[in-house]
Formats: sequence, structure tokens, C-alpha cells
Amino acid sequence: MLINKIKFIKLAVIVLGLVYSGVAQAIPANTSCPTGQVIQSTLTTGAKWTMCWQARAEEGIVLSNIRYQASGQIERWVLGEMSLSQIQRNYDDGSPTQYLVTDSGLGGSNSIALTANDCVGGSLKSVAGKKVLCQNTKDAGIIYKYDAEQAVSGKVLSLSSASQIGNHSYIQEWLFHENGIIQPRIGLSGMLDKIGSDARYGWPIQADGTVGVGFVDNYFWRLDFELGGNDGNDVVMQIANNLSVNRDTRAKNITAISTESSRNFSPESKRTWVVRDSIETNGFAPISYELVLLNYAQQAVGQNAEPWLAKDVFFTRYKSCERFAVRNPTSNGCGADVSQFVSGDSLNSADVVVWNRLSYHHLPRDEDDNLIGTQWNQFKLLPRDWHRRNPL
Amino acid sequence: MKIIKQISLLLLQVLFVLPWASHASANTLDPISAEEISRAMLFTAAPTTNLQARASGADDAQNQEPPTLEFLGVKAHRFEKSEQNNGYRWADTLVYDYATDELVTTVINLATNSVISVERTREMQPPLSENELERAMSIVFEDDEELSVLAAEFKNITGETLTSKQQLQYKAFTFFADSMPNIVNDASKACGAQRCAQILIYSADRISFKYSPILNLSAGVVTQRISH
Repeated sequence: MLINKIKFIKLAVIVLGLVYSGVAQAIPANTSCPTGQVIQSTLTTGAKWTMCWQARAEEGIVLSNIRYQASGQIERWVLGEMSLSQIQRNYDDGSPTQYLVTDSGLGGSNSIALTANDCVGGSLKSVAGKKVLCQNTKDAGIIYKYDAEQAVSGKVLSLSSASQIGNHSYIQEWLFHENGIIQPRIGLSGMLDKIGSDARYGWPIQADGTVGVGFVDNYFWRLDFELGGNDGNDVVMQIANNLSVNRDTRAKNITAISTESSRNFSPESKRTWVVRDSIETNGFAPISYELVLLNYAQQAVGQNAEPWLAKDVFFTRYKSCERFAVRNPTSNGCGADVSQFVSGDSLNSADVVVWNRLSYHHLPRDEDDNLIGTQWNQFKLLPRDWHRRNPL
Repeated sequence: MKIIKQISLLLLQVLFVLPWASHASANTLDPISAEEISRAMLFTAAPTTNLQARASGADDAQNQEPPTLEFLGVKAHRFEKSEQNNGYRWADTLVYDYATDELVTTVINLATNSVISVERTREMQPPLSENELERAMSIVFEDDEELSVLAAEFKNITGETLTSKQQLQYKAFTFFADSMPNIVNDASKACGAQRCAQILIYSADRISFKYSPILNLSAGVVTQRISH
């Protein structure tokens, strides 16, 4: 009887061991990406991009752990996470402001199921059986040229998704270039979502006087930098190039932004910013990325004096609860919007988050009836001193 | 024999309960699966079956009564960066408590089927559920004045008579009073502290209506009419 007991206990121990080892092995070694949601792409010159993706109900597709490696160079981290953190819609006729990311959501049921036609030549990625992301490569044209001697063409990695909110369709696309440039952009299409009769607030689009009501979209991107892979040692530098009094020279001026701040672009002084790693260098200069706006013509403050629309760009220290530029959940004392995220924390060797905003005013035209041609708004993250020389 | 019984019981628990509880092939950042959503819903305070029955009930008048609790959804818990490799499977369930106008967020450990925390927050208004959207349209249809405005525009656009919600397409945004501070009326000023919706209405062929009502779902009434 005693022997039987011992045999049974031994058997039990073996079974328990097998079960627990099976559970342990089921957890993937690399848990920094959702299972199977890794993007890897090597472009024409050998440049390689690697990142994770996930689909969220609010922001739609979110990219994370973004790494870049030029041919023959070391791979470095660029961003911890990149997302479209809010779309604020203000109609010209004074209708209620809409916050599309948090009040409706770009993902979930609003995410459009992509088809092969949306992703010609690329591959579709699915979540729960729904195809929500297209990975593709596109021709990027000549990526450098010198006289008649050299002309090299390249490709660009494109990741795109689409969302339907009311009658409007939004296309989110991220372009990753051979030379390290990251280009987030959003395209507005679909059908006009608001029709009126007062031409002061829009454009007559039909013979009967039907008015397509104009609107302003403010797009906010959240860029959590992680240069070189260490997320706690970034600094923000402001670069301005001011004309002299005589307007005959333009002198560069660089200042550190040492605490959480908000700023405006200035085409006149060519003001922009770089996020720079405080330790890692390309051999002699600190590695950094620069913010470059591509659509600034309609940038404006808000019509209701909203503090989050008072500035173009905000620099904050990473806090996990700071997720949406506006209508952010305020539990656990978190700020309600990006202006409240600026609370005086130090940015001196910090985990820096950049919140970049673009405004776009859509004044309907007859051609919007009944489908709006895609209107793109975009900006670039440009590597500065990432390499000692052009790696391509 | 006692020890054999205890070990046998433990074996049964390990073989049948643990695999069910862990579903451990998912990592911390994986999307919440349909099975995990079903499991998480068991731990919310919301009597969802009652709410679903109310939402699908034939009696529209009954739909005007604010439900006590409204189940809004389940989403993956957001961890700190340093915790994203911890292997945890946590989900947040969101329930709106109309009795107190609070959002109830319950954090659930899906691996152990246990509640980590419950937090009640005021002035947080996640997107409306399908139940709430249907209830909002029912409120419009039960309001004679609002229905007449809606029906007139429907007639103008389609040439037909409006008799039911099924002739329309509609969607809604959560509405906050501060989203149009210059023209919000007194009845809508509680929106944000209370749960409100702005409905956007379309014909079957996606022609948008000028008429767009704002409703206070906590009070069960239309508070303002946007119509340009």
C-alpha cells in the first residue's frame, strides 16, 4: 500500500511538472510585441526597419519598438511608440466639437476591413480575423543623385490602415524610408458628413443650394522617443536660424528645453526641434531626430481658446496614463489634455514624448459630391547625425 | 488514503482548471480574445443580461428609463513600459453607472480570474455602446416635437414618410458641454458630468441630415437640437 502511495505521488509530481513546464514554454520569449505582430522589412539599399504593431479601439493601429538599421550600420531604436492620439473636428457652423479618437474610435468596429484592392502588391495583417493593416513597399524614386555619375532609386516601407467614422473615411499611413526618415500621415476621404443651407459656413455643392459645411480637423500625433534603446536619456533642443538685423546673414541658435514645454513652429526663424540622445553618438556627434512639418499652411489656434490648440508642439516626460492629446482619462490624477501634461517635469535626460499637431481646414467643393478626393496631412521625423555620413 | 484524495483533487485542478484559467499562449500585449472578453464580463458589476434585454425590448417607452448599469466594453490593460514583458494577462472592463454618473473600471487578472482593482471616476465618458445608441434614438422617436422635425427632413430627402428607426442610419458621439461653449443651452450644460450623446443621422443612401439632436441619457431627454 505504501509503495502504491509513493508511486502515485511520483506520478503526480511528474504530471504537475509537465503541466507547469508546458505553461512556461507557452509564454513567448519576446513579449515586447503582441504575438505575431512584428513588421520587418529590408529595402533596396539594405536598410532595415523592424517594429511591432497593434490595433486599439481608440487610436486604431499603433506602432511600437521601432528600430532602423542602414546597410552596414548598427541597428538602433528610434521610437518606443507612435500613434495618432486625437482628431479634433470643429465644423464651421459651430456644431459641437468632435473628438474622433476617444468619442468614436479609429479601431474596433470603425476599422475598415481591408481587401486585396487596398493593398496591391502588399500583405494584409489581421486581428481576430479582420484584415486591418497593409504592409507594402512602394517606389521612392531617386534617393540620391550626383551629376551624371550616380542615380540610385529606392523603396519605402508603407504601413496603412483605414477607418470609417460617419461618412468620413480616414487612411492612416506610416512611411519608413531608406535613409531613416519616418513619415506619419493621415488621409481624409469618404463623403461629406455635414450638409447645410447657410453658404457662410461652407460651399454650395449642388444646384439647389445644398451647402457642404466646412470643418477643421486637428490631428495630434504622440511620439514616444527611445533613441538608442535607452528611454531615459533623451534631451530636446530647439534650433532657430534667425536673420540678422540687416537681414543679410542667418545665424543658428541652439537652446535646450530643459522642462516640459509647448512651442510654436516659426517659418520666419526656421525654428524646429530635435530629440537627441544624451549619451550615444555616431562617433563624434550625438544621434538625434528632427521634427519637420510638411503641412503648415492652415495651422491655427482653436476657435474656443482651447489651451491644447494654443501651441503646435508639446514636449513632455513619459507617463503611461498620458495617452490622448485631448479627452485623456483623468483617473489617478492624470491630466485631461496635453496642455495639462506640461507640468514642470524635467526633460534633462528623460524619456521624452513629443505631441505634434497639424491643422487642416476642409472647404468643400463640387468635386466632393459625392466622394472626397483624399486630402493628406503629414510630417517627417528626420534623422540628424544618426550616421557619420550618408549611409546609402 | 487522505493524501491520495488531496493529490487527486490537486491533479484535477491542475489538469482542468489551470489550463482554462491561464490560456497562457497569449502574452501581455496580445489583443483580448473573445473568450477572454466573455470571461472578463463575468467579473463586472453590470447585470448585462438585463441591459441587453432592455435594449432589445419591444417596448420603446421602457427604453427611455435610464438603466442602472451599462456595460461599455473590455480592453487590454495598459501597463507601464517596464511591465510590458511581465507576462500578465489583465483586462479592463468599463461599466457606466447611471445611478451615480460614474465610470466603473474593473481591472481583472485573466490568468487567475480575479479582480485586481475597481475604480469609480466622474466626468469620464467613453464611446457609447450600441444599447445606448438605440436608447438615444428611441428617446427621439418618443418625443413628438423632435420626431416631427426629423420626419419633415426625412420627407424632404427621401420623399417618404418616416415610420421607424429602421429607415435611418445613425451614429452618435459622446457629447460634452464644453465642446460648443458659446451655444450650449442650459439643458445641455450638465453634459460631461452626466452622460450625453449627439446623434448624427443619415438616410439609407448616406445623405446626412441637418437635424442632429443632443440627448442627456442620464435624464432620458433631448436637450438641444442642432440644425443649420
